[in-house]
Amino acid sequence: MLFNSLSFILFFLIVITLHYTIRSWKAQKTILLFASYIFYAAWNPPFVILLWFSTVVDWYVAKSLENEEKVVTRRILLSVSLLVNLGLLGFFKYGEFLLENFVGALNFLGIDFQAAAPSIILPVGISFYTFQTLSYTLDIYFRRAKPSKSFLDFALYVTFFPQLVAGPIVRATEFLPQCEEPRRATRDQFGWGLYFITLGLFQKVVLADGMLSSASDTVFGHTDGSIFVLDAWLGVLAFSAQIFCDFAGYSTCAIGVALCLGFALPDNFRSPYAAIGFSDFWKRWHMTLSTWLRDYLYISLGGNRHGTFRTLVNLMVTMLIGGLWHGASWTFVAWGALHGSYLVAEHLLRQKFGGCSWVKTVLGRFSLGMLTFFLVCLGWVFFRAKDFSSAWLLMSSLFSFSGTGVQLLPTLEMMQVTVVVVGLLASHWYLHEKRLEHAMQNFPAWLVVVIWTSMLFGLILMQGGANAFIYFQF
Amino acid sequence: MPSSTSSFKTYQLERIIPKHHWATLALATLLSVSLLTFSWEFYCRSLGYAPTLNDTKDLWASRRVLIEKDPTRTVLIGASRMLFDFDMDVYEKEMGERPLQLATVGTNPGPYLEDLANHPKFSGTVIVGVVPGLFFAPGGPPMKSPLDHLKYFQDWSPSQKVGHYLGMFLERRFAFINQEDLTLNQLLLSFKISNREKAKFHPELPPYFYKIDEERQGGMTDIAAQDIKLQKRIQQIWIPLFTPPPDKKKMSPSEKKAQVKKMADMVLEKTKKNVDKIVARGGKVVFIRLPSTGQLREIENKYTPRAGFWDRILEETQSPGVHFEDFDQLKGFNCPEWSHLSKGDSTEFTKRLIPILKKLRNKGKI
Repeated sequence: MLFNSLSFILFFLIVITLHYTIRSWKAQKTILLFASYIFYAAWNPPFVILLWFSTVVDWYVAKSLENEEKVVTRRILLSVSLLVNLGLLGFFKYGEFLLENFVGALNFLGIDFQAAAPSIILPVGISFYTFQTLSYTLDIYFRRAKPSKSFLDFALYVTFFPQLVAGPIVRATEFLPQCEEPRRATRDQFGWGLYFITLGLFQKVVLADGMLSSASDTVFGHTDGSIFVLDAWLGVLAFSAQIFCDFAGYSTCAIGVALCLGFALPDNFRSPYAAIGFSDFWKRWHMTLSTWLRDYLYISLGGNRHGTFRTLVNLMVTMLIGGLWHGASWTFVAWGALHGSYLVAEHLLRQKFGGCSWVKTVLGRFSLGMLTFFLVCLGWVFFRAKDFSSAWLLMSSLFSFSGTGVQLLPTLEMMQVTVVVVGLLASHWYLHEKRLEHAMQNFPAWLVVVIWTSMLFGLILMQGGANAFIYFQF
Repeated sequence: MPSSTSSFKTYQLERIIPKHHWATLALATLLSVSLLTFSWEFYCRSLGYAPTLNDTKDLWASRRVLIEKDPTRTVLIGASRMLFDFDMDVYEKEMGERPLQLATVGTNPGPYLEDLANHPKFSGTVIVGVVPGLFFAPGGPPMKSPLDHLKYFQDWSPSQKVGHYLGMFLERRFAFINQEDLTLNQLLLSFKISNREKAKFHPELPPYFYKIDEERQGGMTDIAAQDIKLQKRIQQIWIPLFTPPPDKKKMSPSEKKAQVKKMADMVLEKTKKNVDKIVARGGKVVFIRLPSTGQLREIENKYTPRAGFWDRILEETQSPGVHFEDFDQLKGFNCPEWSHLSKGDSTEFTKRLIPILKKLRNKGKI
């Protein structure tokens, strides 16, 4: 079920009504759990079984890990969880990719082999909930956390519908304590939650789908010769803004929906396009994934504890896997490799030039911020392009100043992209050092109403169809 | 990638709530949005808009799904002419069966025919509306549209079904819910900002000029049937849409002719295969060429002459066909914007078409 659909509005109204009319906390949680299964099943009912399977396996593995002292047995138990979760992810998400590459490798070696084309449907949000359950088992294994005492709480943690299919990826240590006491939003929390939902939907429906997707689709969909440099850049900028508005929009909705139910979810984005450097970017972009990769992969590989070379290798490996997490394609690996290279280069440059005073000036910080944004945009080319030939075509168009190439975009779309991208960058720089909550607090009440009304009326005017969020495919 | 160390403490995650009276602000917002929305609704109605269903993929899927329940039904496929010009009430009254309307605007019906041909149980009659320029289109939007509709139907989820019925509830009540004309993007287009001289993109599509009901019975709006200014605007949109794009490869006329024939052969081969499959299961296929007039008819005659296209469809597939120019009673209808009949004329046209279809039925051809 999509947040930007009428069926979700009906679903949410029913859930909210039940949540606030039933007194028993256990009954409330049970309703939320069933509602979450309905939310997931409304897309493709059979795939709920995967959720149940993952939930049951990790519940029993964690229980067994708690009392088990033998290292070998603990490792076997952890392996079961890893095998189940990564196995499901591997089969559904990477099955076709692996087979394709296997066949490609055999053909390259001169062995004529053709495999029957498998038709595997990717269960929506599988990358998100497998990472979430994995983090629980890993935390128990490393004795960083205690297993949940209640199966209901644990099942709700895995399945909680606001963040089930596209994050934020919540840790058990953040969510399970919230299940211990009854959660009811105050009037102000509820109102602020509604504001968040409106903001998220506005980002998704009006900005991402309405203002940016057409230009982005046109430019990235063009394969017939080079593109005029201005159109190429506007297409890339359009996608850069679209991917943010789409994904941050989902996270904002998720936080708002959870808040209306009395639950708190962590931030997932914090003005990433005002990041100064790539280490800063990854502290602001998809924060719950980057901290997951940091805690369970980068640090497990040794982090920055074994000298510069190992640190750089660890960074690169983490980013390559992070790239592959986003999709079963070599273009995503290339995107991860590019970001890994950015981080490696930044690490080395910091060691050499970190002490320079100009870096700390306003102009220096702004210049570095814009350079970061520029390089992030180049990375999105590989993320969005359907294959390498399209990516190279666009890359060459971005730096072709001969005035040739096809002019693809209507003037209106060029204006829309420019206005949204400039507005987005300005808002990110405005919120660079502060949270949205603090900024809103300083706005007079009438201004909040004007902003809120504009966003809601914009949504009504846009009449957007229920287009899936980009990150659902991951 | 943050390179700091992590913290695994169990803690109570709380969110900051900005210090405002959010419940009051929410109510004030609700009030102002309601005011704006109702004002917008009244303004749209004052412009002549009335509540109408949107011709969405959900609406199409809601009709397509009925084949699963009754695979012997008569199905209408084709493009907008089939959607506007074929009166299902008249057909039901005269032929004793309610057909399913699956035609979609700007569409090559080939993928729909293939879908029915590959359906394991379908054995009904298919009435295929032929607009040669679309029927023989090898790709682009005429092919994308039906493929998108079919994909949408195959993946039609329970939540989309619920959303569809909720959407129809609202569409029947509010005139401003009009995805053809009144979305924010359509409103921005009305500023008519001129484009760069060398810019290349798809030609403009016509504005809202038809309505549709729950069973997908389409029909031209009264405004479009009467407003000459609107008709002229739509006529000017048809010209580039129905004119083939310039030849990039600079082929000689004979080379071009050979290429067009080659593409037509491919389409016909596929069509024959699909027709044969349906006929083999006991189904029937009949092709219909609905009226077009004015400069558009001239363009059609120039680029898709009857002998090379319409006649070949019937010849290759050995199927019956009804061309509006072959029957006196079907000639002489006026298409206000050259491509479609008005609502009243569509009823009259279907009434005149029925005896021809009955004859075909009596001969066992449909």
